[in-house]
Amino acid sequence: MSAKNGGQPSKKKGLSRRSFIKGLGKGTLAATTISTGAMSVSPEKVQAQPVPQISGPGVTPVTLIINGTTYEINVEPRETLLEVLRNRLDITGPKLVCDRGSCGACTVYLNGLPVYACMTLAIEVQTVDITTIEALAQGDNLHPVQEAIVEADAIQCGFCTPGFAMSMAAALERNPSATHQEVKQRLTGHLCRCGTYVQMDRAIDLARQKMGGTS
Amino acid sequence: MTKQQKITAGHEGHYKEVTISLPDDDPEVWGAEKEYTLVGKKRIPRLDALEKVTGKAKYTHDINLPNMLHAVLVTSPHANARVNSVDTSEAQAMPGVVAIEVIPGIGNANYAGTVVAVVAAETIQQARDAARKVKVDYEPSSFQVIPERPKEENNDPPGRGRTQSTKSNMAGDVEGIYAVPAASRGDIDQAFRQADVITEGTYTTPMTPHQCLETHGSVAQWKNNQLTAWASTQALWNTRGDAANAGQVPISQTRLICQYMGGGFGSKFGLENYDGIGIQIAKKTGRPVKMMADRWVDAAVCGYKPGTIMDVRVGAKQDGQLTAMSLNAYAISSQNGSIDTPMLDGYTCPNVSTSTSNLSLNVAEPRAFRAPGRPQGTFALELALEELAVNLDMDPLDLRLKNVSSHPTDARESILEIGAQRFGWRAKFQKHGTSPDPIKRGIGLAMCTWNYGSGANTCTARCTIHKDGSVEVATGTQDLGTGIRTAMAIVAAESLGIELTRIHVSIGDTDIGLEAPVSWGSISTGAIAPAVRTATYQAQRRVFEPIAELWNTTVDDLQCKGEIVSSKTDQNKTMSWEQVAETITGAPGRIPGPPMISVISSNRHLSAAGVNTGAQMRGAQFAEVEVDTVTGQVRCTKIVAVHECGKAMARAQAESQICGGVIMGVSFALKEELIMDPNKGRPMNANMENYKILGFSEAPEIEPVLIDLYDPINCTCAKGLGEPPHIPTAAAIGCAVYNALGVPIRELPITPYKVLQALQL
Repeated sequence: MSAKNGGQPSKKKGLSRRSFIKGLGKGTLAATTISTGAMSVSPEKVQAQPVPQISGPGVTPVTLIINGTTYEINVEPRETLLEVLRNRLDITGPKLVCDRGSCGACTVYLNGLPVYACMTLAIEVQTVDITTIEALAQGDNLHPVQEAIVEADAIQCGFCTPGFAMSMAAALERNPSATHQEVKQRLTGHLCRCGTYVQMDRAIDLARQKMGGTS
Repeated sequence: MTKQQKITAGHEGHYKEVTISLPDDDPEVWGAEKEYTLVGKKRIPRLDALEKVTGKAKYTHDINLPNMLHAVLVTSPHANARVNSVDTSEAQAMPGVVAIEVIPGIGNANYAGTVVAVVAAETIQQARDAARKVKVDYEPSSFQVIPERPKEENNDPPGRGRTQSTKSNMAGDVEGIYAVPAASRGDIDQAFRQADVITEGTYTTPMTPHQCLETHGSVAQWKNNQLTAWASTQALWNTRGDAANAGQVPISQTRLICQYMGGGFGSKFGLENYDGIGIQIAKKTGRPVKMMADRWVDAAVCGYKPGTIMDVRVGAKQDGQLTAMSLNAYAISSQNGSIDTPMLDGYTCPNVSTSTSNLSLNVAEPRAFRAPGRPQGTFALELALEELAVNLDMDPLDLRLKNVSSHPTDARESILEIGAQRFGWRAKFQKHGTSPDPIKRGIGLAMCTWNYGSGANTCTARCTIHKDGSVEVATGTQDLGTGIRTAMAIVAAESLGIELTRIHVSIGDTDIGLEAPVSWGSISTGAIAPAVRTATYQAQRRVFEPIAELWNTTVDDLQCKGEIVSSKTDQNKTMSWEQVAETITGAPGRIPGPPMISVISSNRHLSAAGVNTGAQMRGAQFAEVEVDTVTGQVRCTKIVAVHECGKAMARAQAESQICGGVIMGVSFALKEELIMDPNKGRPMNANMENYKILGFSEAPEIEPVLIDLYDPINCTCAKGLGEPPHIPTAAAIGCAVYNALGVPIRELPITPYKVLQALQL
């Protein structure tokens, strides 16, 4: 209860938990109603409190840095990064497929590291650089991994493709001389229903050649 | 008026000259004698690869429109319950809620997941919140979600007492995709009495949902009483009709768009009932509505391959000649589940009897799944034949070879021989159960026959040639990921004798206004390729007219190869394609017209006596497995997949299609099964974390082998390939596991548990 009730009280000003409960009047409230009361009955008092703040349950302002652009938007704290990208910002390259971190189609980078956007809350990632498939190519110049996927025909319906491209690129950016097996290992979190795995193997080889690690 | 053409039909080692007669303005048929530049030759990147690999391709799920509402579903948690009432008052008052519609006439929920109501709100989160507040008064009653054989087993000979039709020959009559009537030929009882060896067994396969990565759904937008809908669909025109019907607006006022779709596999032939509600909410509110199923709904409600219980009997003479085959089977689904056995068309066997009926459960409706009924029927028959081969002490390859016929356009014998050679069958084959512990190795093979895909369906294509020499080709088809855009461009460039880069392809929009078949039964390429060939050929002839006049010759005398237009009879007369195209704007002495020539034409189904084998597509797959006798884990390590699709139009994409079908087959053999909770009546793994599909590291090495088979059923000799590669994979793996263990596992999927149980025998 205490964590939900406004975090650590400040000694100098603002509201201690005790004074807050007093302020609600005469100790008539049951403990279970206090936390909701703190958020809905006295919002101005909660706002008066310094960091950290409670966010939500309604929309709350966040700042997201996506593909080099800073977005200041309102999101609900429960919205996943994937939902915010797709529904609020129309960045639809990352796909919603399993919604449970099983298939990899929603893969984005946080500070260069691939993560499942469906398992990440948007409010958690306000200070990091978020990169989506839309920014993997440099303008009209495809990333070598994208070229490799095209050349190997490792695409059918294309719904899993952005995720595979992101993870393969991350693996080879981190270690351009990674072996085939090492790159493949980093792609095992991705599912393809059309069955492009054989072509994806070929794409790994082509991408390794293009990025210099042909050992 | 007709013209005669001599072409070389058949396949390598089995060619045959045939003469076919064609209407005058039809293009000549592409046979084996033609020198191809693009068709079936080069590896060409798919036309839409760039959009897909950069995330720019807009699928239905990616359509975001200003002021759009998000809709979610209220579904029944009960497998069988009367819906007494639906109270939406509390939900209506929730923040952001704009509309709640109860499915009209909802009387009973017949399976868990039955859609009861649709909630539309400003955000998807608000819609989900409100959906939880919709109060449905259910009156649950008893249900059945686990298949049980009827207690009183039918002791009659197979086929008796059920709907039955008789076929007199091997040729596959196209009788519709779903309807697989009971069929028989010969005298089955007599034949079994006369057989030297009989093998019989019961084979089962599970219900497996399609698990398309893009869930089922649509986006609807109304403007000026006209409906525009986006839908993830395999059937643009049918879905347009569904949308118009739901919106109560004429079809002509309805536009349906499907530029990209994230997989269908047989599950997306029209709108869902809830899509229709979304369209109605959009109409009522004047705001666009996005209605996409979530993963649970997609896996639990939007179709699956019916499960099966199949009793199979096969009888043969001592030399391996098949004398009798029978199938007596139950499909497991809500209703209308079908099993399609290759008994009638797979092997030369004079006496066959098949009958199937459906064992109804409280589950969602089954749908076509990549050769509806065929992978299941093939698994049962091929594993039974494998058991027969062991009983006869025969190499399983020899048993198959003994029972297929050879014919120039029926390449079954060649397919088996080529596959066996590529796979190294003779060197690898060891008797069943002789492989040592702890990793037992086994090999197996299975035949594939599929009866559709001939392109008998009508397709209309348009070719527009512009004055700068660029070309547009269009038809109202949709790309499921097969690469049909690429195939269309390749056919157009080959037909016109120009560079591929000049071709632009338009599909996936009913505004194109050109009919194309539903993408089912592997029928698309076989219909679209000849339509594109015909339209491009006829458009080019019109472009040639002023040139023929200029050169004082006939249009028939002109040709275009490598972007050079020339006279066949006078080598001095040449012009570049661009120069020729420029004359479209108005050749000297002609009245200037629009700066383009546009021709619309349809495909034509041809027949040549003594050559055509009908609509069938053949193949065979050879599998290698390793079975860990400690863990029970089966690993499929290699598959050689030999298939013919007539003449492959886009080779790289055809090979990808083969590999994809095989991978889905390995997944079917070893992993996939929708598991129902017998107490609650709900699927326990309608998701992607507990419903296992084959992962990257589990995929075998696959060698796709395409046989070019020139069967002049249309002017390109193209047939389809979407379904066949999925048909024999599970069967070949089943045979390989039997070869490794010496014990057949007759139930799919072949899980470690079943392997360990089999090893205890």
